[in-house]
Amino acid sequence: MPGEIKGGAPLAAERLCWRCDTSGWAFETTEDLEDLGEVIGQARAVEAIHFAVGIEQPGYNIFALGPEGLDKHGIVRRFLEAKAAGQAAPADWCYVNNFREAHAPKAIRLPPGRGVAFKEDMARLVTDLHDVLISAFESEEYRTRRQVIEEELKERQQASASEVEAAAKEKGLALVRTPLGFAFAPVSEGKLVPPEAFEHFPKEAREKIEADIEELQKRLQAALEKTPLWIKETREKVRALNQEIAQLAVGHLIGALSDAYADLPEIMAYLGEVRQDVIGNVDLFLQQPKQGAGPPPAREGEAGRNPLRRYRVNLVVHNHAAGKDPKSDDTEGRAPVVYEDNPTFDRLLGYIEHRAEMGALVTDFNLIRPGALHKANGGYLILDARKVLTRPLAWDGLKRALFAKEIRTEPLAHMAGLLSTSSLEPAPIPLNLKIVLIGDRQLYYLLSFHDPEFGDLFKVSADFDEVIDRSAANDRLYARQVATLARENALRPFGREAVGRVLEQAARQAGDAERLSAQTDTIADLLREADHWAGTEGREIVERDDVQKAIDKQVYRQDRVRQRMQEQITRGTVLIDDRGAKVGQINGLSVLSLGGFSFGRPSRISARVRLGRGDLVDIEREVELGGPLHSKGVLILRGFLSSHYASDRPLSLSASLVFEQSYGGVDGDSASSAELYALLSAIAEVPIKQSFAVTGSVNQYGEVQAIGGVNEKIEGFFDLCAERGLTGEQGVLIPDSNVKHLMLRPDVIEAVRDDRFRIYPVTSIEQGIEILTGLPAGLRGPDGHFPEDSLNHRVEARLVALAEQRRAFARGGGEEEKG
Amino acid sequence: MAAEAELALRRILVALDVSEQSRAALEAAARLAGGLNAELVGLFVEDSDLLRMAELPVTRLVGARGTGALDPAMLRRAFKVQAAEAREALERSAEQWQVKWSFRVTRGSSAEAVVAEAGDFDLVALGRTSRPAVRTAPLGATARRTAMAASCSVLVSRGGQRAGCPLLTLYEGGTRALPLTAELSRVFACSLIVGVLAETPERAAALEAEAETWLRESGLRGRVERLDTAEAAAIHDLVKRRDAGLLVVDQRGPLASKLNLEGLLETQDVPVLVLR
Repeated sequence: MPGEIKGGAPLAAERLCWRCDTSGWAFETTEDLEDLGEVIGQARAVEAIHFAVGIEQPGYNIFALGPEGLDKHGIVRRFLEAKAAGQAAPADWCYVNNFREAHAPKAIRLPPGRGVAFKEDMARLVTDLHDVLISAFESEEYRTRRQVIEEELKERQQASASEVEAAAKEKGLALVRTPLGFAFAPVSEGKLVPPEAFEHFPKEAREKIEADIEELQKRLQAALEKTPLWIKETREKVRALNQEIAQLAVGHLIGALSDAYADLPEIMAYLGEVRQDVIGNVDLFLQQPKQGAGPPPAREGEAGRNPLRRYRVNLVVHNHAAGKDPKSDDTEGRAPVVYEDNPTFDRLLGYIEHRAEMGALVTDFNLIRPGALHKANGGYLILDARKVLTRPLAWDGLKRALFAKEIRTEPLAHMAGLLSTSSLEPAPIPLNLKIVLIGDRQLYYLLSFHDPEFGDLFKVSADFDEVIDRSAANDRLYARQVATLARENALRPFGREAVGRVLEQAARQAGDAERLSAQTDTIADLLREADHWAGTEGREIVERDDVQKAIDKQVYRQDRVRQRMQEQITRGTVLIDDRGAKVGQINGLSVLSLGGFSFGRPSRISARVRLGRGDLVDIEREVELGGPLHSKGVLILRGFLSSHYASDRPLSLSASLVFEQSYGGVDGDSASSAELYALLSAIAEVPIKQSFAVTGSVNQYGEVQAIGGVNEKIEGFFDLCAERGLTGEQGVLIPDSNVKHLMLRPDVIEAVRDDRFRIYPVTSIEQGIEILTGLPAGLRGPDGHFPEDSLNHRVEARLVALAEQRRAFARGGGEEEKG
Repeated sequence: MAAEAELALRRILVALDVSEQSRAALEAAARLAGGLNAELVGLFVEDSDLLRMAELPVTRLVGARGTGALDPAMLRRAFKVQAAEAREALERSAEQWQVKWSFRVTRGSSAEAVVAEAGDFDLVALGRTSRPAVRTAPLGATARRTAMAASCSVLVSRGGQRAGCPLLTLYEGGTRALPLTAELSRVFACSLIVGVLAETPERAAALEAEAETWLRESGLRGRVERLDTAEAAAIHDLVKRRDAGLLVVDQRGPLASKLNLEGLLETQDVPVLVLR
């Protein structure tokens, strides 16, 4: 029959919530369930990780994105560890002294597990060298040979001096040393000739003395000139002797070590350098005190107080070869999986420590410290994207290392170009690892957009979903997930019904009866709390009631603001009617989220109309309390009005819409259907039943569209009605397309079942307005008119009347109109 | 053992120039003064002989770079510089060993000036030679003259005293030098070798027993050795054999008094303390 709108029946209680059917489950408690080894509902992310780990190409690092609470860390880590267990341990790396250029320490690669042995071998070598060299240089043989060399110098010096002295004596002269140099002076009877006596010498004698002195001076001069040369010769002889003795002592010790490392050419080369250096720097060993004595004096340019540090091995990476069973918690013969929870520049790339010495900061290769990249090299490194991005220069440093495929440890200030003091430039270590960055989606999209290098380095995104599609199979897996979580947290076993309630809550969290929340951390919280309440009841098994209690208590703990807001309504501070009927006034619903807790709140929306030029005033927008989406919703109303009614006439009204007593701003278009109802009511001057609240957005065709937070909105209005008393008339209009999202509270369902509360699904404005006004909406007949007494007829008639009125105005009172 | 007046070193004079050997003497003297709580006085002698020599018209300086006139004024300035240097060295050593110290400069013939000053002191310390590069004589004129003529004890150093090496003291009976010897062994933290000197084997055996008893009773680390002859060469041998770091000779001993002191000082590489 034309003029009638289909539908309008409230939803049955069964459709308001998905009730988990536990009858098909073949377990009594979670004790009967196996642990869940796989990941449910994250096939896309898991495949992405699988792919990235498997591909042996650079740049295939992973960005695991998704909201918090999905256990991305746990999933990634478990996956990587399983993968790493099948991979060989990577090489050990150590830094050793570069004897030619001390500022550029060398990096040496060793097979896994041999680094520690090498370090110990070198330490033992230095101790042995110390003992052997000291005894060699204290030996009778060495001392005698050295004395012979030194004696030779003395003899040469003395011989030349005595020669001159003897010649002087012969001539009655003495060689005297003064503070300014040597001098010859005449002597007589073993005493210097006083100046007075000399003056009385005959002229010839004085001249002879002068001539003699001159000749002797020349001879002495010649002898003196040779002295530095002799000293140099002596020093060289001593050095040659030292080297000869050292060579003998050092040779067999280093030779023995070389045999053990014959398969490692790098070590062999290093040992060769050590041998040369020890022979050239025997003094370093000889200066060392005997056991128990104090430290040797610090040498300039040497970091640390012990000059033998130059022969140490700084083992920066040590792994364990497969097959060994070390007691430490190290990688045990497999690829490392490292999580760095404080990824600063230094902790990623390693750093160089300095030590204060005599007021200066000094360093050497022993003070190079490894970073997370060193430790994870050859394996996997997990990092939190946000942390990497917020630590100064850490992101730049990480990218540079990945691009260069090597770890270059340098001071942060060097990288930033802020420091020019001397430091070390350790040889870079080749880098080959997979990095997994974990972060939220926004971060991923921001990086993709703003960092052109990001895409090259993190080619794989593992996108974690926050919801899991519900199916009988997935429900069972989810139950096993619950069992696993319960065991991991050492909780009491959960009964079958309790598990069912957990699943229902997971669906509620997902805001969808056909999906389950993947946020395991909030589920784990629920399990822990339910376990606690079961404990207070003295139960051994967690029951459905315990889960319900945990949910109720969670809500109660976060409920203060909601309760105060509701009080404002029940005490009449905020005006909301739940009975009677009014023109141009309707209850809209909005959702507030505070600290992870969401709740619905009714708001009064009102509309007033008068003759005008078709302008629709959205008061929220005028005062900038309304967001763009809200404004969009209001403009759609205008489109609906002008096209749906009297489309051949200008829209000749002026309407204003407002959220009453809203002081904090609104956004979203979920109130647009409510606004339209209020507007139609105002135009048609037909009252709306105040026992209803409405949610849903509307398009230009009058179709009602889905909105978010449907459960919270219904419950928000229900709570108010329940407080004031349920009459059986009260209810909520929701978009039909939201029915599948319904996961309402048990008390709401109970009220619906008892016919004390109703929930109407609507697909169109016409359907909704019939429920709200009790009048038929009316469909346009073949004659192009709406049926008499229908609401649409009234609306159109009013609009036509307004348009006529306006035209009359325009004709008769044009000036007024202009003014 | 007959009781005799104990030997004590309360005032120590150290003859300073800028030579290595003088530094060694200063080091030994300062350490000794620190250990014995003695006063340390540094003496720098401006050699008047050299000043007179500078006045000779024929005197020329010879250095590695050539020759030139020896100007007395320049020589006096050089003495001042050296004196200041010696004073600084003295101050450093005295501070290191926490010794009460003073410094004086005198002018005169080196040896005579030192001997003259030594009269007021218990010990005079000096280097064996001050001009080791040219002097062929192993014992310098100042050291020889001082060792022979000074009325007080003399410490002659060539090199430094090697740490940890034992102290060798000659013993012919008598208790005069024993407390000081024990004190020295404590100051230098070294063990003792008592070298027994005697005319007859019987006397030597008795002295050995005495020395053993004394070591034991004083709780000192050490050993007793017999010297066959009171000759410089025999003493030198024992010093070498036992790797002694300091030789102490009490010249009041009947045999030691006859010892060729000059020969002993010439042959010894270790510091020699001659007690009087």
